[in-house]
Amino acid sequence: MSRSFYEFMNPVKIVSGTEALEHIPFELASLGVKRPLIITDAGVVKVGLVEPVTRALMVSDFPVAGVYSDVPPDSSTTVVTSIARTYRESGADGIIAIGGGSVIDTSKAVNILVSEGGDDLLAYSGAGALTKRLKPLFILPTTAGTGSEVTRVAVIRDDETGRKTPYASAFLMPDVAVLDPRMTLTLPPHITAATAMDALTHSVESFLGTAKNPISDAYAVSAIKMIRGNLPLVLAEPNNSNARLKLAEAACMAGVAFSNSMVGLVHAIGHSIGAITHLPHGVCMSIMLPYVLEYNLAECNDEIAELLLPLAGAEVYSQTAAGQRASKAIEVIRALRDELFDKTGLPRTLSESGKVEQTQLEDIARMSIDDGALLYNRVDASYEQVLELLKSAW
Amino acid sequence: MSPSLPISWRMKRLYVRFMLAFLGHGLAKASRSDKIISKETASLRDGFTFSMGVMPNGPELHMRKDNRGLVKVAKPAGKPDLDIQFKHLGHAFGTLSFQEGTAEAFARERMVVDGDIPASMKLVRCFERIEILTLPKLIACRIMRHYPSIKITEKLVGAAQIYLGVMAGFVTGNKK
Repeated sequence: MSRSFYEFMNPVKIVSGTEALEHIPFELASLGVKRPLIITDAGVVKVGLVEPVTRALMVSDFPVAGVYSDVPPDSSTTVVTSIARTYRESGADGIIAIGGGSVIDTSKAVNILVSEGGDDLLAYSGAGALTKRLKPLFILPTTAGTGSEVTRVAVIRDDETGRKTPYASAFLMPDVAVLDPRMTLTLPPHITAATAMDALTHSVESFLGTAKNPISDAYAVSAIKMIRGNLPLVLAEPNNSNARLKLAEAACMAGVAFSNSMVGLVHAIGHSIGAITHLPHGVCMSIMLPYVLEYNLAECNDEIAELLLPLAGAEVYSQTAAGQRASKAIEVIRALRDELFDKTGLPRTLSESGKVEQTQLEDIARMSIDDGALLYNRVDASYEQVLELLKSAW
Repeated sequence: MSPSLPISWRMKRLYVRFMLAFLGHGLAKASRSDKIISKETASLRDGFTFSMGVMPNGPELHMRKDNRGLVKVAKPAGKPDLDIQFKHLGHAFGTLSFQEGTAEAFARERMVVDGDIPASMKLVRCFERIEILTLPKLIACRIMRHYPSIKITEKLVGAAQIYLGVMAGFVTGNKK
């Protein structure tokens, strides 16, 4: 049926491993950066994650133009404009972003303004508005989940209209993503679990979707294997640097996979649950994943069956009859969620989350069918079908 | 002297131009005559504009929502609320000749979609509804993720209304 064609892109240099932070001065110098501005949030500063970065720069005699540490969880155009002003006044010539999704998206948006000039961020909204390289951007993720360090999208709230506006361009992709185990070592168990389930969902949906391709498949399968192997280990031994690093690498690989083959119905529903109830994104993913897999089972049986190998290992895979592998893969995901519930309290149903009202389900279903991610799900879903899924997950 | 364009390419461009016009007139009619499409388009705000075209120089289709439904219009002065541009003629021809479905064309990045994404989802559902009504089931099933059960009378009446609307559109050239 398909006229074979796909696009794949990942120009981000990934610097990963022990003392990766100490490698930053070399990378900055390679790109001609002399005075980077650090962009972060108060929480990151509070847990001491900026200090090892500034120390790594200091010992290499690398001056920092400044540290902007007031990025809010829900960033907006005013915040971006304010940081762009700080960038210009400080004489900075590059950006180091330290944080999670909001800090990373904000930094990408700041990079638009300081590279293109002016203060009108909305002029660059949508797809394809950027036509040239931006200033050097380094991303140091402090969660292992979003994969934003390798994606070409940023979403920023417009203060005038209140709408969340997307910005999409290959030029938004960072130059360097730095994965250092110290950056995620302090992540609390429930956030570790939720963000890892986000990364797992990125991998699974990119492997099953209509835009899947052989290259993104390779990233997705590797990411699933690493998450399944290291998430329980990190929860049992939170100070296990190696396992923490593996989770960060898996989230990054999942990011590469989904930024090229997109996500599906779990995300379409998850975006809507998040928008209406403010339930954290990773929690939405974790709750909806097995229900949507069951919904997709008839159409995606072979692909879901393939996932049993990275999810459960060679022994379980070989011991499971071919016809049972897809159901077994979903069972493994359900067992993982039970384990995470026991260890971290990560909810498995919408009612367990305590943040979703049954009366909101219809609005969530209505919003879900207008979410672009639905196009990438192999099985279409109507309002009634999404509502049924939400009721099942209640 | 610049080389002349291949005949096959010119034919494809002609076909794509015809199909975009067909789609425009068909959508305009169906937004008033078909229950499902009019429900989808009714949720777009009045004055909403969208464009669909082929990079780099067309052909193009421009539409606007007014209180009666969608209408085919001339190229708007500003940026439309939703802009869908096929990356090249081959992609547009593949989609508009029903070698692949609208949803798959979106997923396979045959086009750049810029602007109101929720509105683009409504339009995808409208395009699919038009495919359901106007195409033989055999072809529609091949290019769609899900072919709903539909009574033959509903399909025939829906198709007849759309084809009449398209003919009327071509005759009157209802581009404002």
